[in-house]
Amino acid sequence: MMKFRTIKESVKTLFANSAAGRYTVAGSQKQTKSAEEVIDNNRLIQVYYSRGSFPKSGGSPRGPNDHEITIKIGFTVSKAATGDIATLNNPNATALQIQTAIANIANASDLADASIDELFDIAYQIIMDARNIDLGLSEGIVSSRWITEIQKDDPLPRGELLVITGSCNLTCKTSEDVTGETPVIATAISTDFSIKDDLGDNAGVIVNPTDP
Amino acid sequence: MTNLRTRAITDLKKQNTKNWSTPVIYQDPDGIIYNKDNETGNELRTIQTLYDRRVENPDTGEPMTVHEPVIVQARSSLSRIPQPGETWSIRFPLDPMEENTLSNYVFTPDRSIEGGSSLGFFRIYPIRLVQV
Repeated sequence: MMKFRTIKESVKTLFANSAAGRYTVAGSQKQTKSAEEVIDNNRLIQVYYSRGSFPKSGGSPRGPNDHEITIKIGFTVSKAATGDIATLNNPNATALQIQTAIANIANASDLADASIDELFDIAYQIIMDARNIDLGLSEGIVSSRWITEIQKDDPLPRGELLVITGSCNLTCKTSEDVTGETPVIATAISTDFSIKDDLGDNAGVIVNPTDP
Repeated sequence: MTNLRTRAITDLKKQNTKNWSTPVIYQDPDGIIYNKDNETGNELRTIQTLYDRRVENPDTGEPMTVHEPVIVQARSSLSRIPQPGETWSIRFPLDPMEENTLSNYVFTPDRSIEGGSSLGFFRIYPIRLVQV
């Protein structure tokens, strides 16, 4: 298996291990999720291999070859508006109390924007943490991990909720071995070299410390 | 004598309010409650309350049904018409079979209301409101 697949799985595991109920993680692209499924702390992080380049100067015809990897990390959050429902539903509430409750309603777009910013923050801190310089793998498999950019998309009303998506690019390098799609299984050959006149198999240099 | 435009607006409210409407209560930014029809004095009702609609899944292109309440309200039912940029509270039944159980929603600058005065109604897309 090529190493970029191992790296993608490891990044996904890093996010999953740090989730602590704050988000969910998926390891594929464009997994269809309804707004209802990504509301509040069910916000979604998707990790998928997006792009790879193999500079010819970094390889050889038989491998291993340098692989410059771009892993896309997608974010999806959705939010409802929040407010003081108890006051709004209270038949004895005064106009002033209702006015205050309405004025204090937090728009879903503001809440969703803050939520995805928090998710960017979490993701960046996990990936760029010095303890994760190897993205959770053994030393020497991956190098130069770096988040090159973060992008936030426009908010979209979806049903009675508001959804915001975003993404960031994680770039890193690895070295891919080329084993062939059906790896060649080497046949072990055992050879005994016997010297015709050395029946006791004594050929070689025997150092006798008692010799002068 | 009314012209056809006026007649169409009147008929739209009269005919649809009895067929597709649900009770509704509004609260405006000044805290005023609207639960009576400004024209008739009866219980305030929508012209039409839509709950679900078919859309195309943007990822797969397949048709799917999403829960997206849409409220169509006669302008003549309210003494104050929501303006762009205002936040209003709105309550209507989440389940059309349970007319007496009203759920809290809000419409905000997140999505503007639709419909001009020449149409005699406006359409809003409420956002769910949850307790802070």
